[in-house]
Amino acid sequence: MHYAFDWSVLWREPYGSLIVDGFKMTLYLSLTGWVGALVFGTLVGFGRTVRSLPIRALCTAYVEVLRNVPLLLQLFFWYFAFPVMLPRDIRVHLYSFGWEVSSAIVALALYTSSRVAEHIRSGIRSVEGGIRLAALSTGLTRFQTNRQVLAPLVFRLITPSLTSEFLTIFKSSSVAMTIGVAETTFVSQLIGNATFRFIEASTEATVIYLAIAWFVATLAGLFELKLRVPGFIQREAN
Amino acid sequence: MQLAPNSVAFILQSFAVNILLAVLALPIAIAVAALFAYGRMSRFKPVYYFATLYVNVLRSMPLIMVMFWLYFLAPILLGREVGAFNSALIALVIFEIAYFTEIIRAGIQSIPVGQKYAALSSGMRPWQVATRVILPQAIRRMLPSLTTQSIIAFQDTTLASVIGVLDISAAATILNSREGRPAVFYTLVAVIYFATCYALSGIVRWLEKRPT
Repeated sequence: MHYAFDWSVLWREPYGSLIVDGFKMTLYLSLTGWVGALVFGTLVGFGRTVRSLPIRALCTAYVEVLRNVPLLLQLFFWYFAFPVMLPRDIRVHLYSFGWEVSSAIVALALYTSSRVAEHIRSGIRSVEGGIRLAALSTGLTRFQTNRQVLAPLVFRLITPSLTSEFLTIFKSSSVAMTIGVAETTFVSQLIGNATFRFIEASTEATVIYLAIAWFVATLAGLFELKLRVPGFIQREAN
Repeated sequence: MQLAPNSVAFILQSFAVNILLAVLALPIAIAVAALFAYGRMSRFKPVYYFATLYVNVLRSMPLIMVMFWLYFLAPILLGREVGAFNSALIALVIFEIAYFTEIIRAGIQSIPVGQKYAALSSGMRPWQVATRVILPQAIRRMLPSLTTQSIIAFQDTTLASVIGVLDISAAATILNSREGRPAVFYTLVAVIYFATCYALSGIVRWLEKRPT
């Protein structure tokens, strides 16, 4: 194997600033998507435990559809198919706002929300029963029980699952490259194509993803220790 | 909403590529992962560190990056083209090994360690303990997670289109650029994938209900 490395493509302009912008885009997609995923995931996760059958059925359908279609196809749906189903005026408006980035965030948020909803539901199932009945018998309404008793406990219990979903969303955000969003993976292949330095450029992207994972895992470890609920079995420490 | 029969045939043919990728990759990945799982629990430090490093690095990378690595590194290392399909297949195997390793390890470690000591003290050899006491129980416990991860891997095969494999997502893009009806084609492929994965996840629901 004869290969002369040229690492300067990683800081030579314009590539250096492209990499920085790609990194920022990865963070932007993932963090914005995560906020959406938490909001929708929480609503749908609790929605699956309510008494009303239509709401339960709707939330179950939401989770099943989003979990059983690959993220790439969901992204293609939001980017290519969804706008043409809308009236012309709205579509023009969407495109003028840069629909690539927005559709990537929508796809990431909804896909991840279905997984968050599953964690929430299994969290509720693991504490339900006695605690819910006790809260109801003190005179709290169902909504208050969910909001003030179950939610704080459930979120602490499922923190390990949520942090691993949080890690996953950074990796998942790389599919946005397929619709031309200039995030980390896209930029690495762009530099590879422009300079034929694929190994250097891919090393750069790989190191960025490893660094993100390491950083998030370290933070998550501290977080999990702090939020642990005594008396409940937690994920074993590695 | 009219669809030419040959468009549907084209989509289904390309879907066979996704199925083929999963069917070829999964048995290899699970078999190697079983070895890696023992590596993760090994007391022999080099083996332990190698397996742990492998799992942690691969689980921190997006599958798309692994595909790209294979796609341009394989010709440099092997000195010849291996093609998009083979690159995607190898990348998928390499990637999924990391996830299956952790599932198998967790399954084995979920069996109380006392059973191991009890079996050993009854005079069984270590490999008998593994194959007759620990694994039969561990495999039953890990089956739901293994199946779930297999379905995820099957969904991940769509990423092979990124390095040029003509799979179902590439087929939708080709048909759309020919006929310009994104709403039809992208919805159709999503529905096909949904129907398949939903049916497969029925297996998981059945496994989870079954007493272990």
